Amino acid sequence: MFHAHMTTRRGVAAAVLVVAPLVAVASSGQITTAKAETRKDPTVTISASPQRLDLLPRPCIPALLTVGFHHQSGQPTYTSAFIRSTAPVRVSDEVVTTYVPPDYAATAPVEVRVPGDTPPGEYPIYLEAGRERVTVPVVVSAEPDDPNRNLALGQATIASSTGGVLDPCGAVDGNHTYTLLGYNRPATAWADATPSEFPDQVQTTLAKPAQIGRVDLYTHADRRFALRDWDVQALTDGGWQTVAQVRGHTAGRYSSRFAPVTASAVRINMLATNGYAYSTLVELEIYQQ
Amino acid sequence: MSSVEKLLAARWARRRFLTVTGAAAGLALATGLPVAATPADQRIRGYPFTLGIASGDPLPDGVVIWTRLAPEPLEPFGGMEYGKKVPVRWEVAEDEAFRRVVRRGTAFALSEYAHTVHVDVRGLRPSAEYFYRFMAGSDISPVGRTKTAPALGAAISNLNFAFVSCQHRVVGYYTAYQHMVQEDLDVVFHLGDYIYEGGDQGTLGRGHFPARTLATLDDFRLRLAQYKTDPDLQAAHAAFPWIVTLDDHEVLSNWVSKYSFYYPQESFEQFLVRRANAFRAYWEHMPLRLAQLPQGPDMPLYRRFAFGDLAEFNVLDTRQYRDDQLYNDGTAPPDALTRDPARQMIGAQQEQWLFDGLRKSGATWNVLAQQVFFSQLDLDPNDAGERYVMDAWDGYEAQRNRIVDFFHDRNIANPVVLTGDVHANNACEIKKNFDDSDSATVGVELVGTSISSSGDGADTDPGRDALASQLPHIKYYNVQRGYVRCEVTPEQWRTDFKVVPYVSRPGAPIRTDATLVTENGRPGLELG
Repeated sequence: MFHAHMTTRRGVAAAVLVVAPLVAVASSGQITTAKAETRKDPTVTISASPQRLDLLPRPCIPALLTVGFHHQSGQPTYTSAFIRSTAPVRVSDEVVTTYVPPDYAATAPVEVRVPGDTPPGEYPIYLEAGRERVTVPVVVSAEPDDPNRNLALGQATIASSTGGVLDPCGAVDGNHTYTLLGYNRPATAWADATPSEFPDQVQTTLAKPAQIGRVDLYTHADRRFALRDWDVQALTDGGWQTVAQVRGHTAGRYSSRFAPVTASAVRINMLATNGYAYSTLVELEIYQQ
Repeated sequence: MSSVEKLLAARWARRRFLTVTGAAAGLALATGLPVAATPADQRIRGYPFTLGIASGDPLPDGVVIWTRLAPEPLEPFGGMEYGKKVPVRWEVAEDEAFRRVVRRGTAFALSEYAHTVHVDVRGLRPSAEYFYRFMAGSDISPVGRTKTAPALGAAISNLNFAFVSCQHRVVGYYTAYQHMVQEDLDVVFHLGDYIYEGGDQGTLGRGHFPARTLATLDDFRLRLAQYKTDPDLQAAHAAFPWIVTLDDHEVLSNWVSKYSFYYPQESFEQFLVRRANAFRAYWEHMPLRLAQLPQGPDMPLYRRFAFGDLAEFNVLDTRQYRDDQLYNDGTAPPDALTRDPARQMIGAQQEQWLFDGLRKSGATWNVLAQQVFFSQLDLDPNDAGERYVMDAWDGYEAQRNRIVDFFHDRNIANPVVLTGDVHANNACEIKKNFDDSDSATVGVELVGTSISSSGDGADTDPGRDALASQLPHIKYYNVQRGYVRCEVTPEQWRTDFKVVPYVSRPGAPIRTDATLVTENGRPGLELG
């Protein structure tokens, strides 16, 4: 009868008219509950899925590590798992706390990102909850030594603004479709958040400075939502320089070839669409030639 | 539009911030167990009252006062040590200078509750203004003002309150609150969507943290903390006691019962874990009593408040006990399914509780403080057919009609329904039969616009203009941001719809877009 003391008539009897317990109901209740939750006995075990990660240095394609919380007793509880990564590998959370029901496992997703300049090697991730410890081996390999490789794939990408269910990383994820953020599924494309305002910008930083001679831009496949005009800019020792200009594009892919430059980053400066209020980019690819 | 360079700088700032966090977590790991609280060590690194203070759920003899210790509100555990237990002293006084302290005590802030403090202060006088503050270590919180409810059944001459909803921080500033704190109010009702759960960043520099859809308890705590860093929101809490109820975005867009927005991709079991995390963080950050503390995914939130013999408020929960929205949660014409008498918006138990309360009420005004549009709203008024929003009461028509019939058949004194959710102001006459414009008006519905959700809005909206002209029971509408102020006396209920012309930048002025009046005993709305 949790409502009883709120009702008008019963409240009279419940009213405390003298200075009674100064630490009020809430505090005493909290203490009782807290005791149950900080018991030393490990009532919750944790797990990691997958148990091992094999990754490439592609910070914009994070790996998903799912922390599982499994009950060993019948009492529902809230449990924290602490997460420590080995630099320069990063995790999205240093701690995940969740309700752990008595009868099924709770899970918490954690993103693991490997910066583009990470040397090959082992970078373990440690999980800990109470006395529970789980180690997840993370093995980082080098990108394949291929002169025709897309240098933008999975590299750090940011934008001037981003629509709510989109992601700049969606422009360098190797996926050429326009799919919005979903349940445990990242957006595979990018669009800005400033309707009818131009320019909009997307910038990808390469893992290390490299010679580049071609940029392939995939805008929306449907002309109604496609980019029309943009500049391709490269960050060189001499600063930003425009290496290609595209005007009057209609839909899908456009390949810009230009005199090779050594660049550490590429920026797309978007100037106009074919009528849509937002700039859209489903993929950006950068090649040596 | 801000430059890419500026954003890059912001990312670097965030990265540094994560590094600091990593060090704190590492400390806990090194010991093999969470760092134990040392009773002697009461020091807190940094000012702990960064999220302000609040009070709520006023009764004739008491009120809940709230704060949280969070020296670094956007870090895990608010920058507090995991496992640390901190005594927090509190004082309630009759004067702002705390010369006449009437109650004081000590409560413990525990990391299990994100170092929040909820003190149910009792032994206060009815209809009285009080000031409160907290002390932790050598730090003192800001001072809050609160007010108890009138004595039970007391004849009171007036009640002034405001109701608000929907404060999506990414799309707008909380300027409306700057103006609301200038009002002389007894209480404020928040009808839901206190936070939003997405990871959107927007363009105002008010992007969501963390930048993802909320799932864990840490996520919900961080988001609530981020919202509570807003100075206008803090000032609004400090100025008045609040009575809150939640809608969908405190958990996940358009959830009901165990149905996730992502159902069936997200299973019932997975969603109930998310819901338990959301509810726990919500309770932690709101001035609610222990009676409202969630047990896992269940939170007893519906409750009743009386203000003397003048008004009784039934604060409803239209999410936890609801049947799933029909027709993919879209719009649909009414049919046997939407009219199924077994369909529940509030659940049979809450309906019974509501009817019991209404039957026993001796109040002049009987109020439902709830979330979604109550009156009929035909989206195709020109056509022969009808089309209704399945998330609103139109999708649960039989239960709505039972409530309307109860108002009518039991002669419930002056029913008033308060609504949020739709980011628009509306004033509606609740008809005995909405399909018959000649049928009796049994009460009124006041729909309050958003504080910021949907952005600037407009003074006029041709689409809604056309719609409303076809719907005679809708007497007023507006699609700007703001709050609704109500001045209630035994003779009349006066409603001022207060709006700001923009929220995409700070500093908007306030104006009263419309005033509507309902006379005691004469259900209906007149322009005041």
